[in-house]
Amino acid sequence: MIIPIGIFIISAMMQKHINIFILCASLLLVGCKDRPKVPEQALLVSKPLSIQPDYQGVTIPANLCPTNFLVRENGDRMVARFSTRSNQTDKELSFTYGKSMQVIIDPNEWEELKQVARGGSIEVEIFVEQQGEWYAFNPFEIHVAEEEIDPYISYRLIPPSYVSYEELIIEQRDLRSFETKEIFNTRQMITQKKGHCINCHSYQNYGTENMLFHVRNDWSGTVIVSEGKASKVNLKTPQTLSAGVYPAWHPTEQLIAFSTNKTAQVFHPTHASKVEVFDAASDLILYDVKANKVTTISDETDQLECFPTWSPDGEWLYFTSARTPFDSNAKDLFAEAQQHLSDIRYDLCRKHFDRQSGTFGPTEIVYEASADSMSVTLPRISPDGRYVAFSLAPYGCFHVWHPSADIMLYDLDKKKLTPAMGINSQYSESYPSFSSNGRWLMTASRRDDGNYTRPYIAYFDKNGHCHKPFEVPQQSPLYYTLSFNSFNRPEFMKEPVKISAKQFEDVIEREAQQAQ
Amino acid sequence: MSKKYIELLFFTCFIVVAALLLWLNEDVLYMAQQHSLFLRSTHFFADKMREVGGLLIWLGLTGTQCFHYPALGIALLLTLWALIYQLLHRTFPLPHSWRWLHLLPLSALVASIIGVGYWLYYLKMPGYWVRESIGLLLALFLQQVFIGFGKGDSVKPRKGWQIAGILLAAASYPLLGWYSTLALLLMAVRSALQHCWQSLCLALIAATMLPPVIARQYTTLRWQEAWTAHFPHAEFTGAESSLITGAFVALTLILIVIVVVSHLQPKRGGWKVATTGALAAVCGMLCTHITDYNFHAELRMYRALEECRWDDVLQDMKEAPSGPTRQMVSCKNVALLHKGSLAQDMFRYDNIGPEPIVPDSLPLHMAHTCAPLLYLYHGMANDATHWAIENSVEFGFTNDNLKILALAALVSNETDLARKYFDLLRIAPFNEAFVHRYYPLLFKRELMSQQPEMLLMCELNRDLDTRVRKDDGSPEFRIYRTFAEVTGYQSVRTEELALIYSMMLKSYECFWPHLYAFSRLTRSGKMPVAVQEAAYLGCQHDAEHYPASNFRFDANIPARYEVFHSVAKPINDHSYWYFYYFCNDAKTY
Repeated sequence: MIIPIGIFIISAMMQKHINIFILCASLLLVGCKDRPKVPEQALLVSKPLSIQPDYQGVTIPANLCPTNFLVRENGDRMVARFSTRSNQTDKELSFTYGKSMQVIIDPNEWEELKQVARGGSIEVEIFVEQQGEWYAFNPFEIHVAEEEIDPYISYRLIPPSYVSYEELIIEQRDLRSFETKEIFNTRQMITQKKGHCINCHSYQNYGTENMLFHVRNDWSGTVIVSEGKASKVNLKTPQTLSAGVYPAWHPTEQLIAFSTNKTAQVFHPTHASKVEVFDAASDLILYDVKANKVTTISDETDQLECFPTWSPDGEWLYFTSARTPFDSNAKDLFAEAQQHLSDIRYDLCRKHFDRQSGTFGPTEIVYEASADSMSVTLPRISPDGRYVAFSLAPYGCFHVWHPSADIMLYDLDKKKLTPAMGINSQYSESYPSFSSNGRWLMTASRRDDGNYTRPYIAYFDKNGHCHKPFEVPQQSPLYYTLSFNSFNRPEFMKEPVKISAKQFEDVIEREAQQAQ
Repeated sequence: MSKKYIELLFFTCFIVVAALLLWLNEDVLYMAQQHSLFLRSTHFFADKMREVGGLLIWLGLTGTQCFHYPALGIALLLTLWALIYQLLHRTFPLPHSWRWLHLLPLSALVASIIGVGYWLYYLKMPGYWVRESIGLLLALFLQQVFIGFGKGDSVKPRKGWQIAGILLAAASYPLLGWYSTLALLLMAVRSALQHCWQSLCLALIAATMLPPVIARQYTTLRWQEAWTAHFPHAEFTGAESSLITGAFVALTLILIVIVVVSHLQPKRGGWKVATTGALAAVCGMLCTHITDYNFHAELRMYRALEECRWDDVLQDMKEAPSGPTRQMVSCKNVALLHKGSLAQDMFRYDNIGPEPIVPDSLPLHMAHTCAPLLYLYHGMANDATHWAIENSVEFGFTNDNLKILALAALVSNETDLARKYFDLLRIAPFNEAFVHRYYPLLFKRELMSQQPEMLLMCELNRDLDTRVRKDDGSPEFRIYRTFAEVTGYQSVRTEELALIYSMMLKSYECFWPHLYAFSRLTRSGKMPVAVQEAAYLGCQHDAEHYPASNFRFDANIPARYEVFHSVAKPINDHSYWYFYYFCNDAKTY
């Protein structure tokens, strides 16, 4: 009795190690129980199995943490049998799990299963007991790819609110385990009189030696980590519409392209989109980190330029651009733009970048979405430079609130647009990003419920096909149900952020350095 | 009667008065539970443990759920207070004539609950209602460890227990926050009085050095607030609750006084002092009780609306002695709308009254108090979701907001989203009746016919205009305008609503199209009297375009209008005319 209480107190005292407490408690409980047995007889059920998150038929990376899930079927208890067989060694493995209706996989056994199944699949059989009778569902497979995934992702945790913010967290997650770490939490600094929003975390080429995020309202500025050192910069200059907004690090140089935006939001009394966020004006700028200098990339008044992203070779800057369907010199620009919301459509464009002179060439239209009455947002280029993934919807630039928004792939070689089959759902899909090896495509998807954004990852094979995506696994299968946060801007990272949250706090408290 | 029985009598009287005061505030207690959330899950526990004082928050939230049944909540609080009294008595024994001092901390705790008033909508202290009592109880328990579970100063200080007490209090900082600091502070005072310098140094070091060091490990706390982590105080856009801060500052000072008096054991003082002190404790509580009818009526009306008890809403409205607040008017509108007597009865009630009595210059805003429910019952599911989420982000997710979010998702046919909220409500205590009533609608929408309020919400929602609008944060006028400023409704109920709200806006530009549309949809049925009054008035204003001869008015309308106009200062005859001319300075918020 004393030992568990001791563990409880010590663990609870160490906020960072709350997982240890849960793990210890779980181990104490699990240690006392036998492994569940598969029933000798069970009636076969033909109806499709419902599990949450849905891992049926997904392809996972070889270094992914256990895919714990909940069986959403009527029943008193259940047994899940995970089995696999190696094609090379003929080694067979089988483990059973089942705690009420939850499948919590032992991490060590999961490692063994993946090692054997690598390049093949793990078969999962589910048996559910209901009123003394056992039922067996059709087994499903979890495919284990040969390729691994970047070990970390980061995202911003934010409730799906429109105006208020209290606790915003930029968090990193180790995909190989369930370990998370807060990169920064607004509650470190927030008071009743001073508050701030943090957003747009961004990394150079999947690394964290060069990264940034913005701080808005109080303590405003852009926190830029350059070669491991953090500073805060004010990117608003007399020549720019606003401070830097949507960022894109050049893959090799200390250069960051930003959009500058005049943004507003309005609300639908009834509509699946609920809210519209739109730009009344927007331009593109380039920030030279070393020189602390801002230059204009594009500031055409009749164009709304946004969402810059670099090609992997750093030769091209891709972005979206819309011709303003309203008078861009109007006195009340926001009212004017609001009247024409559904007519604002963005094309995919690019400009050549001359590294030597630091200048950009003329704008080329890569995909004229507006000609198809569609609008492109958030383009990202695959590491091999062949595909552009973006979110496509009938209008506007804020597709996270557009249920019809889907991820599309534009083949730059064949100049052909194809939907990223399998990755899309009836709800909004936005913010695509490729893993550094190009084999995994992550999106911010609202497929769970239409309102809360969750990170979904799909295997992107060598033929350019997206496989069925899986929701980033959590220790508790109920995690996403219980969470009130959206996972905003999910980004892959090769390494963890090395600067601590408290160090960022010290930087944010300082006065921002004015960019030239 | 022995001294012991007199003390018991004092304590019993105190507890009876406290119970009575709590019972008078049962509406506050129920709303406190609705404005909190406890989920039966390890995830919820782990989430709370991310905070300094997380255990106390979790315990506080657990206890607050008992307020769903106010009698249960009152029983819980009284039990905690009895235990606190007992521990105070045991840890800091006082001479008989000074024992009234032990009642003062309890008095502060009672005041901190019954005097919260409108701050209850703005509290950012999860579990506040119970956690402070539990925190104090645990802080006193740590004092018991410090004195080796003896009785006050009757035994010589035992160094081993003192060190153990200090270490335990310091170690409990991540779990208890401020109450750990309080425990260390009391230990330091006691050590100083007993000349135990080692303990004093240790307690002071633990109280001053440890919190900022530990707080640096947390990202949910400003390190500057490390010493007072979760010290109860309520603040919102510059306003601060003087009662809440005052009650807990007073409580801290009283405890220090108790420690000193307990050490000194003064011989002076008699029953006069004791009686005066006890009366002061009772008076302290009584003074903080909020007697404003409208404050309590708003809470009752809100609950009645949630439970679709329309007549109870209207009853509270009728009984308002000095007229209703804007929130009461809005709740009345909803009740009439769902009762189906909006046009008939809208102006039979006062539509204007005093502004709410708000303490501490708190900028009270209906967007924070009742907007999500008002929007929901008007079928404005997106606005209900918008404000339920905004308020949840600002003040924390609550039972109340989860229920609104679930119903709003049902109204807008977002079943996956509704399922999420129902899944959460199913693991939140005391929501069984709500879940039982509405959860089946997720799977069978035809069951809506059994829930008339849902049917009407869906009907209104279907008729809403999809065009985007800015939200100026004024729910009352946003609702009026959303319906009044749009034409072409298919449903009679929506058209009736638009017609009445155009009358509330006193906008004839909106009124005439809705009058014609309503007339068309009701197929020339008899117009409600208030609508006839508005139309007759409109005809007088613009006889050229709207001659009275074009309308069929009840025979007495022109005559009544003449009488109304002939009186220099008409009394409120509950006509539309009175509303039009004399209800002009309604200040929405």
